[in-house]
Amino acid sequence: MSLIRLRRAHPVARALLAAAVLCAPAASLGAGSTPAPAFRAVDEEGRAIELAELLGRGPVLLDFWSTWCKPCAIAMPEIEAIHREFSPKGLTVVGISIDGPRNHAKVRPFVARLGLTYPIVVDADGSLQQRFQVRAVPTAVLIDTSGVIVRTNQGYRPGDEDALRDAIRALISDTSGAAGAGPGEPAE
Amino acid sequence: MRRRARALALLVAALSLAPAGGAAQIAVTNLLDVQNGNVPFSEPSDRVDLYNRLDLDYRFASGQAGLRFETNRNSEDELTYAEITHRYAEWSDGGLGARVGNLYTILGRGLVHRSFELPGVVLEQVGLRSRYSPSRDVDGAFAEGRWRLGSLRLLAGRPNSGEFSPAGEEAGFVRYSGFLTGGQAVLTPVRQAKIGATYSRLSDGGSVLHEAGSGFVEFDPLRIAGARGVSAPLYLEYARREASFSDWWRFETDDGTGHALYLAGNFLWGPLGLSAEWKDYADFRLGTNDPPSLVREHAPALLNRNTHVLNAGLEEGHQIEASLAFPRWGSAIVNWSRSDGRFASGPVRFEERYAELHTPPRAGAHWEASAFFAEGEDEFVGIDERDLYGAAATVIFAKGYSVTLDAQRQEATRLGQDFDDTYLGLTLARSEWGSAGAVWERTNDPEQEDPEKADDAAIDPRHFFGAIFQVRLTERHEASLFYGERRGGRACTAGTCYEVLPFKGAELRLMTAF
Repeated sequence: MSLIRLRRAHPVARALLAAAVLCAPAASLGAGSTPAPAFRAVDEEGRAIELAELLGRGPVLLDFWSTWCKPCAIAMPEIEAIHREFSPKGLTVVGISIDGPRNHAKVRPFVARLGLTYPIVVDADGSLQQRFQVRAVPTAVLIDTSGVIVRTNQGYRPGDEDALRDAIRALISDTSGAAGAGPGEPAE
Repeated sequence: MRRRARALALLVAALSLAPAGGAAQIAVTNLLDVQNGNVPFSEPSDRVDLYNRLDLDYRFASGQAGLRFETNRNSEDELTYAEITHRYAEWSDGGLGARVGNLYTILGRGLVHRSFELPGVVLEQVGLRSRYSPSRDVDGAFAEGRWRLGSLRLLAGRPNSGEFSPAGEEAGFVRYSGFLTGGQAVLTPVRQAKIGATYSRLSDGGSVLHEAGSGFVEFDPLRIAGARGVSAPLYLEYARREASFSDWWRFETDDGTGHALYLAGNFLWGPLGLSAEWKDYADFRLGTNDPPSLVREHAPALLNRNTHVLNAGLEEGHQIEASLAFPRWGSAIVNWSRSDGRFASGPVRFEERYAELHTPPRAGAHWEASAFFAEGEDEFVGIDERDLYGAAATVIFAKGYSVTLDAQRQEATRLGQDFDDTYLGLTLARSEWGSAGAVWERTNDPEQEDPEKADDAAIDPRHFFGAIFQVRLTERHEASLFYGERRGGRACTAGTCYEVLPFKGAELRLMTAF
């Protein structure tokens, strides 16, 4: 078996690979500091959703999902529970469906079936998925009020919501008093 | 060299646009995939293949810029490449935005144009042993404006078919060909209504390869009428190719006229959800579009592998789905899809009747289970009859620990020959840590027969066994390891189907994001 000849790779390739490998361990040790890309969208009810405006009220949880993803259907009732628990305390939850035109017509029935009350945006052109580098669904992205991504959960295993709750609690206690009415706030 | 120079120029331009002292940072995601093994019955059986994709994004207050570097190398030293495959810079301010470089967008519901990529998918080019991330992007420029009463979207650039690896270019496969221009104008007179028009034109040299346009309306008559607690959003789009505006207005739908007609409607009332869609496509495989296929996208492995692939060249059909949630108990879904097409030998039909039960869909439950049944036919690929059924259950047996059992079976007839498939999966998961699982498949499908036993009169069943481990190493690093043998065939992700090669060996994937 011959060896992979990485030494023959282009110098730019070698430099980029080396940067990725060298940066990875260092970054993993540090606290989250990736800024969330700004976005403006319209939800399925026709309401404008702008990240900067939402962050003015408190932390934001973005949940990327799709109708064809089975783990999403299991995780979303947990996201709804988080929405109901933390929305009065300032958290805004936004569901972002990455469904393309093939499944667009199934988004609203899916939301109705699961009884979701937080706002749902359909990312029809894939721009949000691109900006947040979403590589799989479900992916939950938690953003603090300064616009920094503090946690990203890719995939879902039962119980993952506990760590997400802890992270939200930490943010809520940091920003107590910032609560305000947001889109899709649950009716108690 | 020219692409690399343009990438650097874009990055420099983006950096110069960033406000001095403003919040800006680089985000990095990396996907490393290493295989040791090969397609079963191929030599060498211990081929080593390394694929890496690195995405660098520089974010600043009013936009971002980035590039993607991909490389694929293998122990045979064939069809290797290492190059920057994507680069872009985008800016947005209020309702205005622009992007140059590799871009993605959609016009209407994709009848006339859709550019996209498949998240997390690494493919091997059919006919070439070269791996890449499939992307149907446009390399050019895009601008969009959104106002209270509507929006305008414009694009121009060279489209990528997404079917070829960068290494394929050395073998004569052209990834970016032709020049595409297009746009969309939308008027939003009230919140629950939109009316719009789209246009696209693909040319190469002096000749026009296609020119297509559509008009669409989207509205919810019940919401407009002030109804509460019930809604019925409707969508209608009609597209024509190589037609003047007066031709388009005639609304012709005969098979000899290049057209695409798509209608979709929902009815939502509390826990009841209905969706009904209708399609009528003729001569509408533009290569740069993606009309809705109206075929359910299934998650279970056997159903997913048997997904019908749309032929927009000539296909007509419908999809009707109803879902009902039973509070505290669960939910039910029924779906009926049908597509009619025509081959030289005569008419062909795909039909599927599907039912699914899921319980209980609520937070904090200590178990969940689902069961499905599907029956139908797909004469487009010679399947005369097919029954598929299965069930999956997850039990949380300690804090953070869960076990999932997934069982599926298919009994089918292809061109008069019976065969069956059985699938069993068992996964043990620990939240925040990862999971360990095993998958076993058995099939006597003649198309999967061991070539060394092909002369036998009877079909020898084949067995596929694989072990899968997934580990969350840190918040920013995830690893997965597959060891064993997995079937190839069709797979569908995010509404798009593609062919996956079978594999026997070990595969390690490391994903990093920071």
